Amino acid sequence: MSIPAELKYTKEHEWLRIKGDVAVFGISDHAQEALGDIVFVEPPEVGRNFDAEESIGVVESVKAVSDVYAPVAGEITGINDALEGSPELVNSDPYGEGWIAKFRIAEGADLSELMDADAYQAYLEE
Amino acid sequence: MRFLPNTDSDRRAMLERIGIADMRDLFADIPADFHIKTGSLDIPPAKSEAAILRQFSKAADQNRHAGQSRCFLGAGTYHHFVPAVVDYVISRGEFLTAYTPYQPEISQGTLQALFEFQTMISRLTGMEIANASMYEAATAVAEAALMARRITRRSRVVLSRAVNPRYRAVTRNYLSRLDGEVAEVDVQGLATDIEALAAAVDNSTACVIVQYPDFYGSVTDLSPLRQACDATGALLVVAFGDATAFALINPPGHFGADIAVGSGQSLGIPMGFGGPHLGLFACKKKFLRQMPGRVCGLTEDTEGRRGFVLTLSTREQHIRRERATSNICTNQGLMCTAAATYMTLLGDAGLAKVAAHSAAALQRLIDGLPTQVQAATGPHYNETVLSFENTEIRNRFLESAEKHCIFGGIPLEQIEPEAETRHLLVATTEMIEAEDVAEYLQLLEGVI
Repeated sequence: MSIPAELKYTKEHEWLRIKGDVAVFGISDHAQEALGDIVFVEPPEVGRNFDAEESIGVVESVKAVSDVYAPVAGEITGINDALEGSPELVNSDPYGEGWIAKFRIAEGADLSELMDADAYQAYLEE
Repeated sequence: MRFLPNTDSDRRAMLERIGIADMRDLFADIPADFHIKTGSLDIPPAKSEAAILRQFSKAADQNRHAGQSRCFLGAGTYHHFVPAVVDYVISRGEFLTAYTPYQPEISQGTLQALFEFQTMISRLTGMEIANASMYEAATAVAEAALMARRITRRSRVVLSRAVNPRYRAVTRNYLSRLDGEVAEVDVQGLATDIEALAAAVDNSTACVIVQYPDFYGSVTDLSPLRQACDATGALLVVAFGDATAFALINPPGHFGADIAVGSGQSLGIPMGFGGPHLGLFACKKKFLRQMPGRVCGLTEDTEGRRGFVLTLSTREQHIRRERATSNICTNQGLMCTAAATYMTLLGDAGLAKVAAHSAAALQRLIDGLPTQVQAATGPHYNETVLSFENTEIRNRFLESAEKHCIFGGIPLEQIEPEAETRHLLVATTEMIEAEDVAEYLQLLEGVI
């Protein structure tokens, strides 16, 4: 299972790639494997403001529908349009072409709950 | 499912096994005051099967039903003809189940019927997709309001008072535990007030719900509502009571409805003293994932053969719990098979004939009205409101009609308590012949 070292992770199995005050996120390799074949991704609307842990999207696989939770507070600035026609990108390339959305991190947002790769690895092993 | 009661020796064996002497010991926790003493109920002695049949047949013979009368009743339930083939098909063992099948490997016939039902409902309503049905029209309207709230993330619902009062009551009930306003917009002379409705739609509105043809039978151009929705981001929900209308007039899809919901009872299902009926639910394809209920899909199996499966079940309550799109986890399987059979039998041409005949019967009635009785103005399909000078004359007519085996209409206040007591809601179908209308008019002349 892949857990890239440069990313941050949440307990809900989302990953974030943070550059300055902008972050790209998706669901982890572990999450896509647990869900199985993904058939639909409902992204958040661009411009939507959200708090940490708020449900901001839905990932639907052949066997389950799961909410995508906001890793930290922010505002959506873009979504991955490719997922509309090819939701399976989340399975084949969860950290790359399978990204879900990007957002501007809210000022003063609490990043302390995010895990690094080692902590996420340990969390998965628990 | 068979009901096989336990015999006395079965019961004795079970009590012995669990170590209890008397069945009443099982209910020992319930205070004795609440026990019914053996022999204390005044129940007559058991009757033979033949005697029961005789007694109930005698009682049933006192029913006055549409089959032995001329039925001018509507208000959401219509006396259209049901070909015998419909009953034959749904009575076959392969179809005779109220449940949607979960196992495609043994349910291809039923699933194909659902798939074709969806296709035909889409075409009839002019909408992109339809689900595999709802229980009946009122809950379908309520679900449409909930769906519009999910899609728009807004909570205000604008509801026309020309929507069937029963659909409105159920919708208000569904919404009563949620935040958000339900703004009802009054009627204009017993018809939809389209301008007032359009004006009531604002930037906080999730949807506007309008009935078409409306509860009073009026057929209104919905374009101003579409424009109001486009300007504000609200959704246009179009409800209907008699689906055969769309074989004659523009369907909801023509006006760009986002969601179309209503009754499918007219499509091969008897009135049956109020049920079981059928709810229809259709919408734009982009809203598929927010649609309640289930959808049957066409696919291929591993060997490339055509197959039908249920899709979207992952959004239902048994999997998604409190985050489910709605709490409907099934459909009206048998009734939607009946509707699919009916539509297949009639085809486009047959349905168009049903609609044309239904509308023509109403026109014939309106054309022959005495001057003392007014029909509502404006276009109608097969239903309208007749207004009498006073309650007494109206009721006299109803009594006289009843004596001649004619169900003359529904006093409006029975369903809309706020209505004046001099109106009669009247509907016609292809079952009403020219001579029935003539007799109706003759009786009308007789009481005024």
